Amino acid sequence: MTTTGARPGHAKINPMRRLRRWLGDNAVVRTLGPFVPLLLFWWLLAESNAFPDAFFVGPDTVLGEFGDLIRKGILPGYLSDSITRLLYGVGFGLLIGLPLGFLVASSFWARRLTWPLLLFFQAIADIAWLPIVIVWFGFSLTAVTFVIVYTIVFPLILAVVAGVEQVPTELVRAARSLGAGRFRVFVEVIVPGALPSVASGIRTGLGYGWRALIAAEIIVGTSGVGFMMFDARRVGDVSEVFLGMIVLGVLWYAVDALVLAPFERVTVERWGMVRQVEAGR
Amino acid sequence: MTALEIRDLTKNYVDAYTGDEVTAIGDVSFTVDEGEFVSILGPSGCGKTTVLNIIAGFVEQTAGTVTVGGDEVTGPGPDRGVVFQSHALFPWKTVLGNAAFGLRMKGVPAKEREARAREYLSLVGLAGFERKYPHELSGGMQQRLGVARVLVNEPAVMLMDEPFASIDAQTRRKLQEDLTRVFELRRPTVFFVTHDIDEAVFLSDRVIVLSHRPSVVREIVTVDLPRPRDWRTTTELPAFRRLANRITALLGEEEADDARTAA
Repeated sequence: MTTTGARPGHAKINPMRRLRRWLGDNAVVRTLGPFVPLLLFWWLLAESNAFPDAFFVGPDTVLGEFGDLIRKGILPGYLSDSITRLLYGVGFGLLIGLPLGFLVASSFWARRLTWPLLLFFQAIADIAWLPIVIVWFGFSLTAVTFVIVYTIVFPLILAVVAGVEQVPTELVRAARSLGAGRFRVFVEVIVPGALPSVASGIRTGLGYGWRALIAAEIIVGTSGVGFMMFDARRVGDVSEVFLGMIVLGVLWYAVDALVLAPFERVTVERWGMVRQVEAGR
Repeated sequence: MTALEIRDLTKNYVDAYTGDEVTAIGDVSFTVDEGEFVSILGPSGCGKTTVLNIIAGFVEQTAGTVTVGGDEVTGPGPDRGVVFQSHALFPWKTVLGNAAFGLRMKGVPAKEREARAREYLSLVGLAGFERKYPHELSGGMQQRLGVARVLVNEPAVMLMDEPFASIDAQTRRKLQEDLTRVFELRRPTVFFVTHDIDEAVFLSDRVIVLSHRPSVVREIVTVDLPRPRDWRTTTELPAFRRLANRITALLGEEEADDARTAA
């Protein structure tokens, strides 16, 4: 093959199209781009003075507040408190929910006996447990952890059961006819086969857990992002409330982009078990 | 030597809708010799796949026995590897990982099982695809992997359940020819379920023709066409057409019988 001379087809791409492609491929643009008009709209709304400052503040004020709280060390402290609680809750939630889910899924009778209980307890909102949890554990980390674990465990169990049920019978049969015993079938076929559903269960569980944490901090609170927001409301500092909301969104986005999405990319997406969510790839 | 012996197999089941007891398999007996390629043909819904599922140990028979290498079969086992119509490959394993699965279950050391898996992959024409995942292969290639995954285990009998039914006609010809080539090279024992008469005649040493349900063995047709076979020459032999026509007639009578019963 001769490759002398200019490569045709490359030189002629129209610059607008090249710009569009660059914008589409650039990770920063793709991630932050959609927020630009939102920020602009927010800023314009604040500048127009349609609402008094006590109700509504602009992005510049919130940014100032952000710098202030970082300097004072309040935000980092609260943030690490919230994240520690979430980690505890998620850790225990996974530790309890995953084995329990597989246990329930693995046996027809276990499923029969526990299903009504699962649906019943899932129906009691996480926050509804707070009054009794506070009576039992006081305003403590244990109380908050309990609520998060509770929130995560049930969607996780249901997702694991659904995942196990989705594993095609033929895959189990194939493994059996290749010499796998029941335990190997579980490890080699059931667990990876259930993974797409389990992964989305973990995603849902984490989302619920995150919300439950903030709610618990608002009620139980002695520290944390939820506490910060509610405390700010009490003293009438709207910018701090805004800041708290933004921190929650950014943090969730980060967990999703840095932990959940990469995990799914190297497992279920790599295996062709789900359609890739992101378009244009 | 007899590799597989089926004696007086019957299967009844309860219809989920009507609640009636239905006899799917009336009374089926046959044997498959070592190194023999035997197909089973029959009108649709006659329970050919049920026969295979019973041999594989996936489904329990109502009565009768299945013996493989002299031992009676009770559940699934690596002596009876199955090639499925749906391929049933493990999506989370690479091509090599799928092919080596059986050896891993047997506890064969990593180095040896990889070498043997590679050997069988190149036998079926998948050399160079070891690191791919199943979803990156075409349907035809997936089924090649399905065959390699079973053969590498060196089963007493390879059970194939309409393996090429969901593959386009052109690829199917190629797969049939390649399966014949591998069979003639390695002489595994094969039990093959199909509804395609030409396919059965082309591939097999003998063809079992089942009747309509409750199915019994209507006739066992010996295919004495010379090997090695290839699609062009073999299908043009007068003997090939004669055999195919005879089986068509046997199945045709079945349908005529049905019409009579229905009338």
